[in-house]
Amino acid sequence: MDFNLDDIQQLSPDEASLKAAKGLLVPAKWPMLGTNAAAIWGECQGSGKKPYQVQVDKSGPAFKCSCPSRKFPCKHGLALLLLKFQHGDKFNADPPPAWVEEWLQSRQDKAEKKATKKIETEAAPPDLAARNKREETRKQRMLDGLQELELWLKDQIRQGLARLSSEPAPGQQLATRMVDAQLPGIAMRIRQWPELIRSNPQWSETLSAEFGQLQLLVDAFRRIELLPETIQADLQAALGNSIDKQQVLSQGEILADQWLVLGQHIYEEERLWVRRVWLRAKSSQRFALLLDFNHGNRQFQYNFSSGKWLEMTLAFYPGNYPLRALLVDTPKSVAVSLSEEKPLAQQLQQLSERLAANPWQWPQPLVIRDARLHQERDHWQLLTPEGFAIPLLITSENRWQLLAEGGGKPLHIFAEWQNNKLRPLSAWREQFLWSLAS
Amino acid sequence: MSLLAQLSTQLLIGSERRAVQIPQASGDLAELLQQLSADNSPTETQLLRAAGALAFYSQAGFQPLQAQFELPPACADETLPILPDERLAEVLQQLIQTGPQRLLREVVNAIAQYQYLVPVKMLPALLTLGKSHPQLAPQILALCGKRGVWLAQANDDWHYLLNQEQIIDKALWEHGQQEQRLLFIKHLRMSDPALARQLLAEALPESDARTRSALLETLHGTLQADDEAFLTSLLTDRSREVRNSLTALLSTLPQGHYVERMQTRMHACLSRERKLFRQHWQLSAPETFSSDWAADAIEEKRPSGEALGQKAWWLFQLARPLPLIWWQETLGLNPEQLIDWARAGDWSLALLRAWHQALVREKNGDWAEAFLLKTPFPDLDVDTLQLICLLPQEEAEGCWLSIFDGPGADHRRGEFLNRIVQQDMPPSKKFARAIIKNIKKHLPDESSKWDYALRQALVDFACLIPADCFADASQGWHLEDSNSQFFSETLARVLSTIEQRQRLIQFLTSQSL
Repeated sequence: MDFNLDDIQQLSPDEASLKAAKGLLVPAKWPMLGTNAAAIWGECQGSGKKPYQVQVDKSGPAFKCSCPSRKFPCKHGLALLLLKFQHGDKFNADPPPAWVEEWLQSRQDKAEKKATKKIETEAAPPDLAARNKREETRKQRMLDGLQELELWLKDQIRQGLARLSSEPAPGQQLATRMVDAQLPGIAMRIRQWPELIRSNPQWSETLSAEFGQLQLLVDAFRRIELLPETIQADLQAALGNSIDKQQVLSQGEILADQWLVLGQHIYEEERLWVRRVWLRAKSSQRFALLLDFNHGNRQFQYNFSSGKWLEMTLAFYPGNYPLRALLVDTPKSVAVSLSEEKPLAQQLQQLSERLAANPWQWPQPLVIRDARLHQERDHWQLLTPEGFAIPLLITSENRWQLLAEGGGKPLHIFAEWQNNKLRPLSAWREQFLWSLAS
Repeated sequence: MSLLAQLSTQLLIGSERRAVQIPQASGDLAELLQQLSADNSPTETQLLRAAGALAFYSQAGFQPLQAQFELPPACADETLPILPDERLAEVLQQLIQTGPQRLLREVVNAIAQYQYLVPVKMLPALLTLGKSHPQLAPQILALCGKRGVWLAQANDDWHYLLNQEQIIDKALWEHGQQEQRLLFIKHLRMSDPALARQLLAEALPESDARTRSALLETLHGTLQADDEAFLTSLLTDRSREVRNSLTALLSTLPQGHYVERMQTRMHACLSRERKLFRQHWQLSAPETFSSDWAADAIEEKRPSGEALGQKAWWLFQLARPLPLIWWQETLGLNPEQLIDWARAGDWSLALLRAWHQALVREKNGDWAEAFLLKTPFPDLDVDTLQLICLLPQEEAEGCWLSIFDGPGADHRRGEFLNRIVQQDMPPSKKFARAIIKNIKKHLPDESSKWDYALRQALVDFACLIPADCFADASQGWHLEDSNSQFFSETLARVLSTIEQRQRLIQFLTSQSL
């Protein structure tokens, strides 16, 4: 594949690396540049005598550079891709030099070894005793973590929430402890608090709701064995214990359809990049969520863009109202026209059903038809045609962009709904006009 | 108030200080709350469970509030087309983010000239740009269309754009900040100079000295003969700063009465003597301070630290406002001869200083050349580079080339190039090539590495060079030398600037077809 500017930006570990890479876009600095079907390589003159050897394996992509940078990929790797994009004619098609051959070969060897090992492990009889022991330890750690959470919550109630109003980011230490206790779902939820309560006049109500729901989660986990299987799955997902992907692919509900990419939210949290891609099936109008995580950079498998229609098959994670899904095959772009959106009452009715079936799923998808934007002293709301107002969570750069696209006329808005607020992810009229910049 | 709100209000204080009542619910919810508090868990846990249950119920029954506001009318449809050249739109976006400013201005002007609007998604960035670049506001107004004006109404930071349309808004003059008042007067001077003068006349008496001076400075460049009486009436101002501003302004009216009075006074200091077979002009400084001079803001007392003597100080002030051509015509000498004549006399410093100030004021190329030929001028603060900038382009380029080749150029190429680009004049092909060649040649020198000004100046130079020189600017840089490594980032910016200019040229060519 060839990489465009967006791809390269997503591969960059941070803004500074990309900026530094742009400073290397001087063909004269690259005495050698080459490419073939599998890889891109080049030599970049650095401050030393010997040029750096930079190479990118297109499958992956994977990077290797002889520079000492601790950034990954380093600026040389990014610059190599940028050069390929902007000055493709400067790359020769000669056979790769030995150092490229060796690296590609070693990568292939490793991959083969890994595959062999996987087959061996799968073939080997599972060590049930060891696995049970692992599960046991893990469960104990989670129970300990939940006990700590419960104690923390109790303290807040005893001492009063007013105390928290002066804290810029309440509970963030607790979030770290929850990660240690293998409860990443709870940690993620806690990390949302600062954003949920920032300049929110009803902050104490929001926090009470959050605290109370966590308490019910603790209660539920303690008696998880007594609950129906689908609810057990929802609980585990809320705590952040996702089941094995292979298991979802082999046992989950399979659904092939034409899916509209409604919107996506990509954000970083403690060096962990999170991507939520929201889809809606053409025939059943059913929502699906693709949830991915990546450490270090925002590179995810397959790039989605809002407003595109994709023909593909999804496998749903088990649950009381399955929403999260995995890709089964490679998505294929198709041309489908947008259909009419349902009025607010129906959308809210469905939201209510989804919440009743699984109250732990957050955020929830919601489409608001023919909405207009309203702002007053930095307080942004959506006005629905029925005359209702819904407060928005939206960053300042995004809100002006969205207001500009609307121009005061109604737009269909797709948003993530959470705690009675909306985080808009995309907007369209006859066609998609805006999507959240991350 | 919702049940959850009733509960959370109580939770603010803390259950250890005051007992919390779980709100009364009805139906299924009441039953659920009842069940949740049925066991003997601690009070806090029971309260948390109640909060959780209320939260789940209220979320599942989410009903938005009725809006208590009305929206402003939607934006009207555009009548002008959106810029069809997507590549140029991309260039504009890059320039807004990272400059160079010079090329940004050029691109904005080009799009405005052909009456295109920018794509809607670029409006926020463009409107924000105008806040830091007020001089671009009129073009931005043209580029952003009705949507931009509609958007600007919603954001205080962008209100400057609305004032563009009603810049002659007297409220700005009466209630605005100093900067806005100055801008207002400058704009008003273009459309109604007499009214602007009248407003100034009303405002001056109630302003402090610094403000009076700043207000008067706005008149530079728009002065007409009928402004003279007004300016003359102010010459007795209490503040020396204000009087200096006034005399500087009056000096730019060579046909005016003020300059005429000064000429008469200078005439009185000149006499002709016969030496051998030729007539020779003699200059003698005034012996006493004439009583009518103060009315023309001539200072009797020398400022402290003044190098000129008492009489020379008076002479300097008489000579300063005179147009240089007056000296040439009165004495029948050319600028070089005049400098020789001044140097041979007793009052050379007073005269040369007055002439130097006059040549800067007049941007007089002949006199700049004469001063350059007669360098050095001890005791006189002459900026040689400024003189070069005043020369006709061809001569200036010749001077610059010899400076770039000279021994004093190390460490200073960036400074020199900066002076050249500040002229905002496209250099000749020959000159651009020669300068680029010179910089390439000296790149491996240790001194170039520390010449930080060069890094920005070269990018600005790339904005001005003729298109024929693009290859010279983008190729033939030898970066293999480890001493030239520092330059790669600058070169990357030069290359991207040239690419952006090529796109601009393509756009202009396509439009003129």
